[in-house]
Amino acid sequence: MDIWELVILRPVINVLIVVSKYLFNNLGLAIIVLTIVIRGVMYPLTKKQLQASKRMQELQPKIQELQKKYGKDRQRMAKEQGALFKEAGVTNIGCILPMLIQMPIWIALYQSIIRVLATTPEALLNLSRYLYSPWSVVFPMVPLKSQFLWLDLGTADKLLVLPVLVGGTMWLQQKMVTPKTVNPQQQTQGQMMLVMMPLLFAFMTLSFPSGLALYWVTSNIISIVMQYFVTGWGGLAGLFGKKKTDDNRPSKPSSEYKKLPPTREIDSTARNIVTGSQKINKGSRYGNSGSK
Amino acid sequence: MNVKYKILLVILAIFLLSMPIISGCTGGLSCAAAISRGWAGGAVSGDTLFVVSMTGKVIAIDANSGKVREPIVQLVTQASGGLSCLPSSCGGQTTSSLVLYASPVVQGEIVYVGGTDGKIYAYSFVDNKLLEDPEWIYPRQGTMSGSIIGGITVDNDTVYFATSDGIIYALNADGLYFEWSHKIDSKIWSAPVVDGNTLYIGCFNKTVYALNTADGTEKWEYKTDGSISSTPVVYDNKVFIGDYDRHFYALDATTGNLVWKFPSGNEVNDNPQNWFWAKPVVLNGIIYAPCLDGKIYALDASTGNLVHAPYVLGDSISSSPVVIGDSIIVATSVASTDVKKQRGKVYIINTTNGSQQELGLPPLEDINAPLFAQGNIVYIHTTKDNLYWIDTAAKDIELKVLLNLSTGE
Repeated sequence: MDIWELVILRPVINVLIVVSKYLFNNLGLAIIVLTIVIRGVMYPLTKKQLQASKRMQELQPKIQELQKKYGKDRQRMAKEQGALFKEAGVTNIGCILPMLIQMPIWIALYQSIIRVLATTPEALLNLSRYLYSPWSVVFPMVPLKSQFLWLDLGTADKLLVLPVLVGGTMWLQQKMVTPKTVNPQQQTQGQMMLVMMPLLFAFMTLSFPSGLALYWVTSNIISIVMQYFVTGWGGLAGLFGKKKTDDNRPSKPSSEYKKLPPTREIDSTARNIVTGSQKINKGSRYGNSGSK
Repeated sequence: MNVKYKILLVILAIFLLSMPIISGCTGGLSCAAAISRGWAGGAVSGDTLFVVSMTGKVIAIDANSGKVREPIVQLVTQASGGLSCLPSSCGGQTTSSLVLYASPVVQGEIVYVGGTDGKIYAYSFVDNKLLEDPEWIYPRQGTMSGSIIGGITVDNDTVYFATSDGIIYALNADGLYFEWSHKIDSKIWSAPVVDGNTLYIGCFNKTVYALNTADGTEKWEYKTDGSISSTPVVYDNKVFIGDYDRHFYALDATTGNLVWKFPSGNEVNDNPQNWFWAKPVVLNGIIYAPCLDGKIYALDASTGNLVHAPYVLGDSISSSPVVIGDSIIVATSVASTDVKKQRGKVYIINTTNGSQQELGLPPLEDINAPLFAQGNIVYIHTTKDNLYWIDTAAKDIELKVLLNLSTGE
């Protein structure tokens, strides 16, 4: 057993089995609860990542402006962009690092669900290697009952409800984070991403065990909720027919947004940012993102 | 392209590239949860071995020379070959090799084979040749909803088997006509065992059942604390069976009452650390119970007491051992679906002096299939689809036959 299996995968598998025992021997509930708990524990990191992405998104008009100015001079462009990021306290790594830290846990949960489902004799035999000898409770629990609602968690959803849910929730989540842009090329790329990922996952759900799809749906819904509380409706605001400033969520200003720097360049796009920052400082943390 | 999109594309690329790792998939598109390759053993009749390969072939082999006796019969199934299910449970149109876990059984000139499509195939073996078309198939038309995982038992001209959807069947061995079936609300991966007029079988619903072989009616049932995939052994009017609750049970074959279980709870050490998976063997009043913790527990058949310190073999024992003379031949496996980690070993345990000796096998091969033997020769079907002959007297590999043959080869 390698380090990954020993330190990360094995504990998650055993915890999943124990959680299942205390949730009425229901693996479906165990998957949902464990996903919520793990995502909850990871919330501070998720929040940081979302906030960093949001700030990066807010800088886009300025970056575009810089591209217009220095697009041909790559060195100057990089220098100006670096200075802009420095001033705003934004780094590329700030967006990715929290996600990279969380990824092993997500992957462990994902792999654990696959292993615990153990639909074939080979897979069940393989699962026996991961069970903790001192935890006598896990041994009689396996194989876990795979029935949950209308689903057999070990096989694909024949009613096709889960593929739709996976694709739908992923689209909603992607839509929330997809920035509005005036650049047609970027808009096309954004639309591509928005459609391709949900379609890919919905397609995979057609053949993957429902237990995994249940994890995806739960995880997507949690992401949507977290994103709502951290960054607002984002790209969904227009979809619901209201401006982002209209929502009546608590308007506690975020310390992260307070840190937004004063803009150096005075132009039409940057002015929006300045206006946004001022609005934030007056108490509306969502004011800037929707100002078009 | 702005930074945001670059980041998103990098994440997407990393995600897609790491899908095999994320999903725990190894070996093409097969996921850890869904790898289904089969591990059937074989049968010996006269000077012919009958084995089924991991590619769904029924092969007759000359037991003296190791030469394959043509023709080779290929079993296929209509399946989607999806990622998440056994062939029998997938809807689809693709034809693929039938996956087989049940060892073939020979009765006279008929070889019975059961597959994960839930069907029983009976082939005639005449003049040292298997006839390519099955003599009989059950069911003759339509499909079965479960898979045969545990195995087939032929007793008194009746074929008994259980399917994974919880149905135990009895068919007339001559023609494979339906005699009776008994439905249990549980998965069954265990093979039935018949003793006298009673059939015994263990199920995933933590129950051992005894059924009347005449009509399939239930005689008794015994509840344990864990699921059962191990095949029982009947000896001295007791049913011996291992369990996922890490206990080994002895039940009264007539009443189903518990005679003893190991560990009883009084032992301080030597408690099993994993499931009992493989079928036990009996020798001279002692039950040898193989466990996935890599030990063989030698238990007094009358009392359930350990009569010898457990034989420690290291890796999991999922393959049923065989008895040759006073020796027990046991094979181990690392029980991993990762082919690169596999390293099965074979041991000879001398029950007279308690010694154990390892017989080498090439690396990267595991052994999950039940062993079978004739005379001093034990036959071992490995996860690389090789069949090894081991001479237990010479303690050496005598022959190796590749079972992954193309038909007509």
